[in-house]
Amino acid sequence: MIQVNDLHFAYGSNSHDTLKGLNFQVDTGEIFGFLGPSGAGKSTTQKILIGILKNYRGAVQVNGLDLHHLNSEFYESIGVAFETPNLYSKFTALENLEFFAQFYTNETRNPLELLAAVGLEDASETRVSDFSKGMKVRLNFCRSLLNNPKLLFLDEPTAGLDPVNLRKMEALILAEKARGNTICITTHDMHVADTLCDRVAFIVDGEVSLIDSPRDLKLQHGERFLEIEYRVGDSVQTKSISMEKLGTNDTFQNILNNHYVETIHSREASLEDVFVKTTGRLLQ
Amino acid sequence: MKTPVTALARGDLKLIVRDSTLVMAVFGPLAITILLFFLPSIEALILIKFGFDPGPFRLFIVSFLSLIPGMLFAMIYGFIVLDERDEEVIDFISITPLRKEGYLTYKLIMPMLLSAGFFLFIIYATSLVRLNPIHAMGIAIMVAIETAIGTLFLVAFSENKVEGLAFSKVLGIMYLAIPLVFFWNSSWHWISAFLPPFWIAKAFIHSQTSSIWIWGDLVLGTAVHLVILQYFLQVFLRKQ
Amino acid sequence: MRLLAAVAQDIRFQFRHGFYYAYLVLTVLYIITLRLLPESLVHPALTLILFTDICALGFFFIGAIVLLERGQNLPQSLFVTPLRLHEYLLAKIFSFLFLSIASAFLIMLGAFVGGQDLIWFIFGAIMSTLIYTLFGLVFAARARHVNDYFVKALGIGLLISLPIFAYLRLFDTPLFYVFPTRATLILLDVLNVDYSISEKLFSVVSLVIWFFILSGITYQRFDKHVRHPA
Repeated sequence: MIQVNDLHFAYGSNSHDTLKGLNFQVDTGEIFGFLGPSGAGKSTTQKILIGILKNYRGAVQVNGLDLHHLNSEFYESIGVAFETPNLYSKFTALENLEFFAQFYTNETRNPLELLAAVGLEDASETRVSDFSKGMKVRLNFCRSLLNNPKLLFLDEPTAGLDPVNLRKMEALILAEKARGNTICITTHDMHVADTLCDRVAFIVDGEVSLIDSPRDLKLQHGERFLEIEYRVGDSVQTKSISMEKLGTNDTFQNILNNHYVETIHSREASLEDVFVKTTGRLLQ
Repeated sequence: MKTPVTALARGDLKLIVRDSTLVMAVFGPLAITILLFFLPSIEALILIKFGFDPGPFRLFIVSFLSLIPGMLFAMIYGFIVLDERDEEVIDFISITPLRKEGYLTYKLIMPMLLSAGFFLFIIYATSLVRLNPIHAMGIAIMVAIETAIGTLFLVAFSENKVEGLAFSKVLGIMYLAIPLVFFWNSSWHWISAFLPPFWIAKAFIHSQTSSIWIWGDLVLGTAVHLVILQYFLQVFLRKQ
Repeated sequence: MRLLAAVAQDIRFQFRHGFYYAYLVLTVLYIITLRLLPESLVHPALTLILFTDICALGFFFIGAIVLLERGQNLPQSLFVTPLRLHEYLLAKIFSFLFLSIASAFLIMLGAFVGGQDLIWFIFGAIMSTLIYTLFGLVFAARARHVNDYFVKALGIGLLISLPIFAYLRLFDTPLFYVFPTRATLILLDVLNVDYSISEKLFSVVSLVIWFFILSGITYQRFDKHVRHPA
């Protein structure tokens, strides 16, 4: 679906490149995540993939089209939800969706059904200026689905959502995948990447440092360990101990035998730990 | 001195200079002053070309043009406030020690001082009409309040910059009171007495004949200005 | 179809932001003013009203609209739909044309203005609206704040209005014939003064040329700064 080779990009008159030779491909029907701290080049990459930034170097093919020869036909089959919801604030939710739907020649989805899917059915006649941030994010998501896009770009799709709506949103994204559509997610939320993405690319300083499925990444780079809290006199001490061969681990056995243990928790490596370990960077 | 007000003033000054708004803030009124300097020559030219003496219109032209800087300053500051509201700066300032009231006071006092200053400058630098300094001060006070009314009108009734523009067109209608006072020879022109510039036009006319009525214009006019100011202030503070 | 949808949206947008109410009030005031004026002044006053306000309204408003849209990132979401840039721009231009012409039509109807050369006059009104709106778009593409736009717009607005001196017969120079406003002032004045056919034709040609030049600049600027901002 997306094929990117040796992609370079520099903003304006900047002499140094923001993107320094990206290579990756996104397969049809998968959820692909771009992960990285802010300023790493995630948004720049997405802007190139949707045709907003033009003067890049390298080869970019999206849906079989070389983006150097982009035309308005291209936008019939992609959907984009930007990070900051951009909607007409003096218009109602329904009016916004109906307006954008008019630009597509392909059949568009019923706006009311979309609103119902994200739990906004009661707000369809409400002006966007009266929406909370979370409501705007959900409406923004509805808009990106209007034209039944084969390829969906979501920039921080869960920002500002409460836990209930976060779960709803995750289910909706998976439903799009079930329809055979391809989805690119840009995020710095590791939990979202972990639960949703088939494969993730770590982007740091304009380069892709790693691409793999979250599960494999955790297996390859993660270390299973446990955390134990125990009493020494009046104070509480904490130790992290590898889970390999616990029965013969002297430190662990020593604590168990000689101290009053308060808690023991197993700690699998999270995607975040893998990220920190492989890139040497924090995500925020 | 490091007070919230000087911080705000520095911020505004930066904004104005960076966006070359200063150009308009100074050159708009300056252009009007220059135009007024040439008024006698233009009058002479019209007399020669068309055989028509525009002399009797001079007082009208001067009173009309001397109010334009006030309108410009009202708009400039009105749009700065609207910009800052769009960017949610006002919400932030209202939780600083300056508070919303302090912010608004500052945003109103600056254009008031500027417009009153420009008004006196235009009157005395061009000396096209003779005006008793005490009368001039009285009118300048009305000019200042009128500018605050203009700024408040834009920010109290509009929700964003685009609506602000529509309202600034309506604001311009207020100045219709001046030609009405000058040229409508019927007591019906009093129906525009609720428009602030009405009283300034009246004061200009009475100042030329040393009429005792000028004190009525100044006192009543200032009262009308203050009542409108108070009303717009309430609308604005309720809205935020 | 896409164009129609975009025009309808822009008209509704302007309606919701109170433009139509503001211009309704102004239109009524202009009609009253024209009715009160002596017969000999009606046509010149109409010319000045159209020239300085009704046809120039696009110039005045477009900056704030484009800035507000840009502030809300709306162009971004429009340009990831099949909507083309020229459709976006035409929607802006046509929506102002609609407001200008509706207002001008009401004023002429209300003040009983008419005459033989009405075709030239209408063409002049349409072209001046288009040219003013395009000038506004050229400067709105790059402005950062409303006040920033006003400074630039006011400067260029005063500059291109210089031929008003020729209209008032105070000062004239052949140089004025380069200005688009010299041509609009001729066409907006045909109900008042008998211009020769060559003067009218010159005005039409001049305005068409200006229209294409400004359209080209507008398209380029929007392509560079609004559709593909880098």
